[in-house]
Formats: sequence, C-alpha cells, structure tokens
Amino acid sequence: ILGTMAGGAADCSFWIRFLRNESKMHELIHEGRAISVARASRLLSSVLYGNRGLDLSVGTMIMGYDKRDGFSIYYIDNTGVRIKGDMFAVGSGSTFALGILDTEERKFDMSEEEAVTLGIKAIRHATLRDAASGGFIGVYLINENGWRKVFSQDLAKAI
Amino acid sequence: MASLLSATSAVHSRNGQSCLPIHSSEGQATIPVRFDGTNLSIGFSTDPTANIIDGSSIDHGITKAPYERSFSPYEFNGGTTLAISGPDYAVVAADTRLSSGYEILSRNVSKLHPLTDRCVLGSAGCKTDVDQLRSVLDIKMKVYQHNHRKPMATPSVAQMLGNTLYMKRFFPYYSFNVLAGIDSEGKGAVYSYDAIGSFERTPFSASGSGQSFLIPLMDNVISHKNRCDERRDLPVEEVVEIVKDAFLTAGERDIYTGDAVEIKIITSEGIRTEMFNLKAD
Repeated sequence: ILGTMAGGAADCSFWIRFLRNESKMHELIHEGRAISVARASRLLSSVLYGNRGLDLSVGTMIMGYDKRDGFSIYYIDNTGVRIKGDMFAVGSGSTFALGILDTEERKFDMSEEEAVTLGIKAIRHATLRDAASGGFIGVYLINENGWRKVFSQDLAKAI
Repeated sequence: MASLLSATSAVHSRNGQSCLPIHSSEGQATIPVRFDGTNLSIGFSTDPTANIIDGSSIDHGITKAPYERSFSPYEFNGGTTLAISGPDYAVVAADTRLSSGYEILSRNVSKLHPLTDRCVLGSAGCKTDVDQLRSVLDIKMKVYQHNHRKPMATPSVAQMLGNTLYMKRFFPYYSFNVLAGIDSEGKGAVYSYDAIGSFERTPFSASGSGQSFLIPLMDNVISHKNRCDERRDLPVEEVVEIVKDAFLTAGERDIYTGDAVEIKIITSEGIRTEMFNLKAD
C-alpha cells in the first residue's frame, strides 16, 4: 500500500507514519495477514476527522492491491473525506495536472507504460505552472505483488 | 517602526476598521487608522487634527482611539545555527549572542547541546522553548538508554525530535533546530527541522535569523550549485574555515548574530569544540 503526501509537511509525515505503524500492528495482530486498502484508508480518515477544526493540512491518496477489491485508490484529506476513485490529482498543482489527465484519450485498459508516461506528463506540467510544485518527479507502479519506483528525475538536471 | 510603505501593505481589517499592527516585545497591538488619499498621511479617524502616527511609540496611557493588546507567549531571542555533513564528519556551529528586541542579554550563551557522544542539537528561536525541548529530549534519551542498554543512534534521535515537536503541534516549541551527528555507518548526518517536526536529512542546514545569508553561500560552496569548476571533496579543516567565513558574513548583515561562534566538530572519535570571535557590534 502506498500513500502520497500533499499539504503540511509535518502533518503529512506524522500521520502517514502513524498509518504505517497501525498497518504493521494489524499484520502482527492478525497473524501476517496484510491490511486491506479500505481498512488502512479508513484508519487515517477517522483520525483526521477527529482532528477536524484544528487546522491540520493533509491531502493524501492511499492506494494498493488486495484480493477482495483489486486495485483501489482512496483520496483522503484533513476534512475527513474519504472517496474511492480511479483517478485523482491532489495538491496546489492538481488543477494543472488534471488538465493533462482529462484531455488525454484515456482508455480504461491503458498499458503500464502508457499510464506511467501520462503520469509523468501531468506532473511535469504541474511543476511548470505551479510555483509550489517542483524539484523532483518520482513515479511508482503498483501491481499484485507490491510497489516499485519506476521513474525518478531531478528537474534541475533535466533540460 | 512602520514606514509609510510598509504600513500600506500591513494595514488589515479588524471588525471592519482598518488597523495598523504595531510590533513590540509586548506582542501585538493594533491601532485603528484611516488613510487619506489626498495628503498621504495616517490619522485617527476620530480626530482629524491629531498628530501623524509614526508607529514607533506605544502609548501606555489612555488614548482617544481604542486599541487592542494581546499577550504573546513567544519571543524571538535571535541567533543563527549552521550544520554541514561530510563523508566521515559533521560540523555544527552557532553564534553565542542572546538578544531580546534591540537589546543584547548575553554574549556568551551556547546554542549547541550534545545529546550523545555522536550527536549535537543546535537550536535558535525562543530560549525558554529551546531549553525545555532539550530537557524533554534528555529525559527521553535517558529512558531509551535504560530500556535498550545502548545510546541512541543519530537517525533515531532525528525521528524522536520530529515526534517530540509534533506532539506540541497546536502550541509549538518556538525552536528552529538543526541536528548534526555521525550515523551508525560512520558517515556525517545533518537533519533540518521546521517548528512542528517535519524533518529531512540534508547535506547542510542553517536556521535562525541569519539563515537567509548562510543558505545561498552554502548552496554554492558546499552543494556546488551554479558553479562550472570541478567539484572536489572538502576536508574537515576547510569546512571549518568556510563556517567561520560564513558567520563573519552573517554577523555583518544580521543584527542578532555576532559576539562569537561556537563550532563543534563531530567524528567517530568524538566531539571537539572551537570558539571563534566575531564583531561585538
């Protein structure tokens, strides 16, 4: 299960780490059975809802694979919202990224390479247009066995 | 201390009335003002013949116009810290001046605090919060040592400091930290923090009032940015000289930085301390 972080740096690092620890505890309690994406995402969204009104700033996507639901992505933010979907863009540059994602001819059976290329294109456009986005681009691919990093680029070294 | 230019940008609305924020050691106070577009002066809305407010005086007595005082629990005591990591060393330095507003409280106060034999915490900000944070960390480290029968490794200290800061997320420690030390493999490690515990391992870190003067210099000299010549590894003696030069520059331009620099060099053998005098002006 992967989680992305957008918003307040300290809030995101702390609460994603909390989720990592809770998921580990789940595995230990339930004899090695991995936590489902639905459960993990709900753990995080409950705790963020409980801290509503305290000006936390967290915008994340929790995604992964499990046997019951297949591949799923949950968008979670500091208001406590938790929505399942096929595609999300989060953060200050999300509107720019969505512009790229929505205008591409999206087939629901896009191959892995096409999906990665589209992701890179969307993020690169967001870093171009949004002042608060930039630095590095990192792309991770998730399949039934887990996740791995497939693309990493330092934008200072790019042309 | 508000000039007319900064006043125009600083005016904000409070209950529908334009207010000028006044900064003083008492914290924030606001005085309602009215801008007259024709003669570009600031005057009380209730009394057009009153004198122009220059913002540098706080009226402690009774005034014609109502204003609001508030107590601020925070105070900025000044100072700058810098930490640089190398292949087998870490250098951390901080000036020794303690100030409050325009006054110097002490020229000889240390901002560096060794947490283990291999790890030093440098903090600038509000002295009382810094001292309290250190006490809390010392206690946590002692408990760790008793439970695990070994001193804490530097990456663990880094995570613990991040968590300790986040525990006070809604009433933060006013402490801008840099952590420098040797990690378990013997390499130099430097971690930068914000006030609520977000942290990252970085090649160097500067925090405090003089950080804006130090960071661009470090970007060029240590990270070798915007340079066309060949990069070479810097030995620890050269890095110490760079640190001294950097603090000389920061001391020139930043009023809160000066008096002396305390430099600690951390290697796998231990911690060595050096003092370097700066201008006392």
